[in-house]
Amino acid sequence: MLGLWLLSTYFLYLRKNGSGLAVGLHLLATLILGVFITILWIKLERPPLRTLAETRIWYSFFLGGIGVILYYMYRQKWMLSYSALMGSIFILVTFFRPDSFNKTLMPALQSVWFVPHVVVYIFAYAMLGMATVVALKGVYNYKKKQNTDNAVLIADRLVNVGYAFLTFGLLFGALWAKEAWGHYWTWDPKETWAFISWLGYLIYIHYRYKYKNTTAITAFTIIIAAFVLILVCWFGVNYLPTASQSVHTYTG
Amino acid sequence: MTFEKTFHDKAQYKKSVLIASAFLLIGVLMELFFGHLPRSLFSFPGNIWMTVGFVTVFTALFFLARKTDLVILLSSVPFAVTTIIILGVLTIGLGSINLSDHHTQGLAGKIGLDNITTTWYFAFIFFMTLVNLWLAILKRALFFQKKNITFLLNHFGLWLTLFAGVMGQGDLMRLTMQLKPDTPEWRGTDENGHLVELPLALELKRFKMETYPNKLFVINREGEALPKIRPESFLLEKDSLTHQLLNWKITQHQYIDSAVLVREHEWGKHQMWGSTNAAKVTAENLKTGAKETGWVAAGNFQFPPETINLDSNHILIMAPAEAREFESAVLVYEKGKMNTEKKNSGKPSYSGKRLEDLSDKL
Repeated sequence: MLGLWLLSTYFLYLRKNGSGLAVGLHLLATLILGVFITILWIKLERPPLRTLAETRIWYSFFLGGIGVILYYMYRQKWMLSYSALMGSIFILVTFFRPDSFNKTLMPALQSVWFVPHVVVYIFAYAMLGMATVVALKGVYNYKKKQNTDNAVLIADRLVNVGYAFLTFGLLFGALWAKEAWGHYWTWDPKETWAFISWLGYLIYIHYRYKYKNTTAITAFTIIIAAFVLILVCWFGVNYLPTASQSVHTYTG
Repeated sequence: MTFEKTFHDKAQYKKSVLIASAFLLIGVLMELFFGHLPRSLFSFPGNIWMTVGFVTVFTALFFLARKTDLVILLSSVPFAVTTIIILGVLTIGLGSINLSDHHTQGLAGKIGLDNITTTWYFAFIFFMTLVNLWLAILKRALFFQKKNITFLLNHFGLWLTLFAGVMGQGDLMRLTMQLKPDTPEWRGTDENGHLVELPLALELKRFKMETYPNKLFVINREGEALPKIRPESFLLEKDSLTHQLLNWKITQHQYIDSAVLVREHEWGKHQMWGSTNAAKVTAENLKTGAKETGWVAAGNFQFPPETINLDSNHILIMAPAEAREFESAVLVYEKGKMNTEKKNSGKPSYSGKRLEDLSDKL
């Protein structure tokens, strides 16, 4: 965990340096996180994808990667620092609220679907998280009466890619459920919320398709609202009254 | 966007909301008067007729009335957005409402809030989504363009998934069977506790469960694992490991995965049927320095659990071992066929899959 602390320091240094060095450091930090995940995987003797804390580490890792890619695509400096900031926050949360890293993995999770299902999901979450940050900046620009075209474009692309991954995660989950529990879909609370968040972005895509040229603020609002639904699905489900019926709570 | 088009769109939303609200209202009333959707609607042969009916009626409607306001509305994006939002809200209810028993008797229970997927209003909104998808697919299919291919594929895929998912519901039967070693069993119990006779019989020949080493927890007098928010555990992986639980440093001296009680407060290794797991550990209180060495055992139907009292309100216990892997061999008898043996390892519910595979052949 100490290594991770160093890592976030790397992140913080980022903004003061020249762009080339910054990208290098950013990449290095992301790579360190990747190495950390690998070590964790080997040490735990199972994929580190079971608990919330473990998924947060993956999330930071993907955010780092996406930040670099976006930077190269759109040359927007703030994207790099935002992805670094968000990644650092998630790492810090994990650092201060670690799970009791334990090795046991119940038989239902010992499946070939385990890794693709969770990784695809976390990647989708990272994409959609970045889209949300872009949308928030868009809202800020809008309030300041600045141009929002760029934010609309970037958020739109991020949602489209993230949504494809979200759909794959959902489908993988259904196939896995068939194998493990005998049915594709049982309206388990986690499944239900996954479906809800999927619907959230579905609304966005249809809205954008129909109203390409209208004000951006509604599109931004939908993106932000849909991400709130994702957060409920990811963390919130465990605290809802329906959690007791869920077969999806693997925390602790 | 021209003024006329904007105006038209707004009207489409208004109409969509109106239609959806009407269906919701009718659905709630039907739920109140008739109760949940009858399951028979979605089982064979009812589901086949509904499928044929749906496709015929709405394809015909499309080709006969393609230019009418109604069909344009039903296949429009505003209609899609409206139904998706309502479906989302209903699903949020499904994912958040958990009625306690006495509430299910009240109004909330009567309109089916405890089981939204089986209500009439949910079915109506779901149905509207399917109609919307189907008409949208037909509309696009008529104007063939390259970019329409992806649209057609993903919308048809979604339609098929939703449609087939619902229509297959009634034919699925989930039975529980209790298998005892070397005894053929051909009866199962469904979710309502009714006995169902199957056209095949199963006989359990072997069952083996591998487990992880046990975990130690500190609990209070009320039996709650501590700390309450996220109980901490010590996985007994290797002898001489140490781990801190709350204020105690626990050292593992000896872990026995098949332990029997040899004398009072002492456990020994024995491969007897019904043996349990036990471990000899030392608990050192890091505040007072007091040490205590003794046995903790998980216990089972054969042996009582053994615990160590750490102080007046803290007890060191061993949790039952968690499953790592299951392995079973089941003999399957089918009418007029040779007996086949099914071996399988992994999850216990795999046996359910096996049965399903067989049911295809019957």
